[in-house]
Amino acid sequence: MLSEEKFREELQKFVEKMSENKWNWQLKENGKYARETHLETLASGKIVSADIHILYNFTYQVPTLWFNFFENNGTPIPFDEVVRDILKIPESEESDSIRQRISHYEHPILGVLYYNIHPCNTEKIMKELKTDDSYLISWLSVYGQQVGLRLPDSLKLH
Amino acid sequence: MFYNPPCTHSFFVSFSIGEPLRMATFVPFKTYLDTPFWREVNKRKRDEWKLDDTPKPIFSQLSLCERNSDHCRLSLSHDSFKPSNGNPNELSISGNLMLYNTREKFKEAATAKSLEELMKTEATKIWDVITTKTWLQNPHLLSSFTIIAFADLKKFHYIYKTCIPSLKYPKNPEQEISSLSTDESSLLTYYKQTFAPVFLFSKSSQKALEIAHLERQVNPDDVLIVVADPSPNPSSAGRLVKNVVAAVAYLHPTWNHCNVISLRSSGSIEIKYSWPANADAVVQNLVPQCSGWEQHYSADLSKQFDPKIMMEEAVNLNLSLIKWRLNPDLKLERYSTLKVLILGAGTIGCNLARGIMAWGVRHISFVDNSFVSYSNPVRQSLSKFEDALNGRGKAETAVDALKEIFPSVQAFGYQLTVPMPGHTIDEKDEEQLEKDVRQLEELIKNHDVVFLALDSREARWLPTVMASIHRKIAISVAIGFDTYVIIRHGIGLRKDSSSEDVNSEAVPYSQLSCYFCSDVTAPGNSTSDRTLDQQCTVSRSGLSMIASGFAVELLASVLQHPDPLAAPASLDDNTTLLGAVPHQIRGFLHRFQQIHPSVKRFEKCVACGDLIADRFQKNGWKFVRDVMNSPKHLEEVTGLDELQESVEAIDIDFDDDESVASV
Repeated sequence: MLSEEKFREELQKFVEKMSENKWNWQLKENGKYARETHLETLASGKIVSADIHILYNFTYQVPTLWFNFFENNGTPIPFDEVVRDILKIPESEESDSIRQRISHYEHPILGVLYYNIHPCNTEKIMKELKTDDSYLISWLSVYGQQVGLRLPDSLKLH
Repeated sequence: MFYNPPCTHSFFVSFSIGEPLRMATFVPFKTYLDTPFWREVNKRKRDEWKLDDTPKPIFSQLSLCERNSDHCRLSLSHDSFKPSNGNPNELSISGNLMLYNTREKFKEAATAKSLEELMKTEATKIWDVITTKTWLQNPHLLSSFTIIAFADLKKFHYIYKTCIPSLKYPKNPEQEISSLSTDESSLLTYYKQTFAPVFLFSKSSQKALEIAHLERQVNPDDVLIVVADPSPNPSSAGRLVKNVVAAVAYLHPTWNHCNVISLRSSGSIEIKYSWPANADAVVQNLVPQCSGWEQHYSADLSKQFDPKIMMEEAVNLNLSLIKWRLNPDLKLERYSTLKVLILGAGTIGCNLARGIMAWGVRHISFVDNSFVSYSNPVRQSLSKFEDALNGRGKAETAVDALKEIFPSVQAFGYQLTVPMPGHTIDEKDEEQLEKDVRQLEELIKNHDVVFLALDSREARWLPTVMASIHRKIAISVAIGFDTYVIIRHGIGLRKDSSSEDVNSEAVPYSQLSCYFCSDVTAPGNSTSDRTLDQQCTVSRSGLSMIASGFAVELLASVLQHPDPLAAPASLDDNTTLLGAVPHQIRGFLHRFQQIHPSVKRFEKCVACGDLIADRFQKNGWKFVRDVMNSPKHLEEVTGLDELQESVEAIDIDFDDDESVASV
C-alpha cells in the first residue's frame, strides 16, 4: 500500500524519469494524477488517440490505471472495438488475468466513462514483485502491459 | 502494441544526407478532441457563457513525441480552457473557440467567404507579430488557432472546424534535410528549462540563446533556429515551423536561407530552408497569403451525454461485462428482446420486474386489478406512500416506477381482473367477462413469458390454461408465511412428446407439471372461508425477494438453453450456459432449506390437461363462465371426479396381524 502523499511523491519522480526517457507523461492538477496521450494506428488504418491516466485509489491505497480511446472528433471508440482491435483481448482470456479486471466507470475527475483496471489485486501483485525500482515503474511494468503500454528498455525491471 | 519504444520511428522515411533541394513541406495540423473536452463545453455553455458567443480563449497541448500519425496533433481536453500556467512543462498554443448559438449562425460563419475573412483576420494578427518583431520577445504568438463550432445541447450533436493559419511566405521555399550538426540532448535540456517554443543555438559559442538574439545575427549559418515541433514525420517539419521561417525571412530580408532544428523528443531533424533572395521583395504592408482550415467535422455524443441514452448504454455495458468476463457465449439479446407479462403487481410481481429489468429485459407488462393500500409500499418495491394516499392502481403504479427507475423501459399496465373458478358471476357481468378473457388471452399471446404472481391459487388457473395452449414459458411463483415455490409449467401442446429422449433422466420441458398438476381437486374460491390472516398474504419479509430472485434466475437460465422451449428439468450444471434448470424450487425458510423436485405432468390436470385445452379452445369464455360458476365442471371435463370416486371405492383393509407377522 501507498499513502497518498507517497503516491504523489512517486508520481512526480515517475514523470521526471519518464521525461528523461522521452516519454510524454505530464503531472495534472498539482500532481493529483499523471496523464499520457498519444495517437495510435489500428490495423484497420484508423487513427485513434489514447488517453492514459495514473490516479490514486483511496480505498485500496494503490495507483490505478484509467484509459480511453477517442476518434479525432471526441467520440469514444465503441467498447467492442476497444476490446477487439485495441486491447486485443482474446475471447479465451483466462478468468484470473489482470485484463479481466478492466471495467468501465465514470472517471473520478473527468466525469465521463473511462476504462480502469480494478485495483483489488494490486497490492498482492506488488508484493510478489518485490523490486527495488520505483514503485510506479514496477507497477506500470505489470499494469501498463495490459493495455499495451510498454516501458522503455532502459526502464525494464532487472 | 500501441506504444512504440521512444526514438524509433514506426515509419521511417529514408532520406539521404545532402539530398538535392526540394520543395519544402510542412505537416499540417489536425484537431483531436476528446469526450471530456465536449463535456466541459456543455458545462461552460450552460452555466457560464449562456448566450454569450464571443470568442473564448482555449489552449492546446502539443506533444513532442508524436509518431503514429500523418498530422501534427492539436489536442484539446477538459483542461484546455485554462492556460497551462500550472503546468509549464507543456508545449501549448493558444486559440479561440467561437461557439455560435444556432446552427444557422455556424453555417453563416462556415461559408467560403466568412472562412476566408476569418483566416485573413487571424493571419493579419500573426503578420503584425512578425512585422512589429513582437515575436522575438514572445515567440508563442507566431502560432494560434480558431475553432468555429456549434453545440446542440439537447441532442448532443457538435459541428466544428479549425483554422490554424500558416503564412505562405517566403514563396516556394525549398528544404534540405541533414544530420544534426549539434547535440540534441543539450537542446532538449535547454527547452525543458525554459519551455521556449523557439530559441537559438549559436554555433560559435555552442550555446542555446533566447530567440531575441536573432536580430543581431548577420550570417544565417552562424545560428540554428530551434523550434519545438509536434511533427510526427521524420522528413518534414510541422506547420509551426512555417511561420517561424516567415518571421526569420522578414526579419532578415537579405538572407536567402536559414537552418532550423525541428526539436522533438522522438528524434529531431535539421532542415535548411532556402528561398530565392529578394525574389519576394516584401511588400511591407501586404499580408501574405495564408492557409490552414481543417475540414469540417461533426460528432454525435448523445451516447455520452444524453442521460437516458447514457443509462441505457451503462446498463447494456454492465451486462456485456458478464459476457466478456464470465460467459462469452451468453445470449444477452434473449433478454433484451423478451416480452414479459407479469400477472399480479404485488410484492412478487414488483420484485420480478426489477430482477428481469436488471437482466436487460426491456418490455414488461403488468396485470392487476387492485389498488395500492397503506400496507403495500414497505413490501412492494415499486410503490410508495403517495401511491397509497392517492389510491392508485397497482399495475399503473408499478409501470410508472419502472419508468422512473429506467426511462428506456417499455412498461405497460392493465387494470384487469383475472377470471377465477368458484368466483361466481351474474349474467349481467358476462359481457365484461368475455372482454376480460379475450384481453387476457391477447396479452398472453403477445408476450414470450408469463409470470404467475397472483395472490390466490384459483387466479392462476386461467393464465395456466392459456399459457399452456399458446406454448409460452410460464413460471408460477407463490409464497406462504415462510415457504415458497417456483414452478415452471410444462410447455403446452405436447404433440412432439414421443420424440423426446426417453433414456435421459431429465424430464423434457413438455412433460413438466404445472402449478395444478398434483392437485386432485379443482381450484375453488379459497378466500371465501378464511380468516383475515389467511386471506391476505402474510409472509416473512425477505421471502418475496428470495422467491422472486430465484424465479428471475430460473428464467435467466432457461433462456440460455440452446432451445429454451426445450429446456428439460435438470440439475446438471451443463444444461444451459448459466447452469442447471430445475423444474421446481421449493424453499423452507424456517430451516433455510431448498429442494428441487421434478414432477411429470398429470394428463388429467384441471389446468394444463389436454381435455381442458380442447374445451377452452372450443367454448372460449363460456367455458370460463361455467368453471367460474362451478369449479366441479373442471373435474367433470377432465374426469377427475371419476378418479376421486374410484379412489374412494377402493377398500383397503389393513390387517394389523399381518404386519406384525411380517416382522
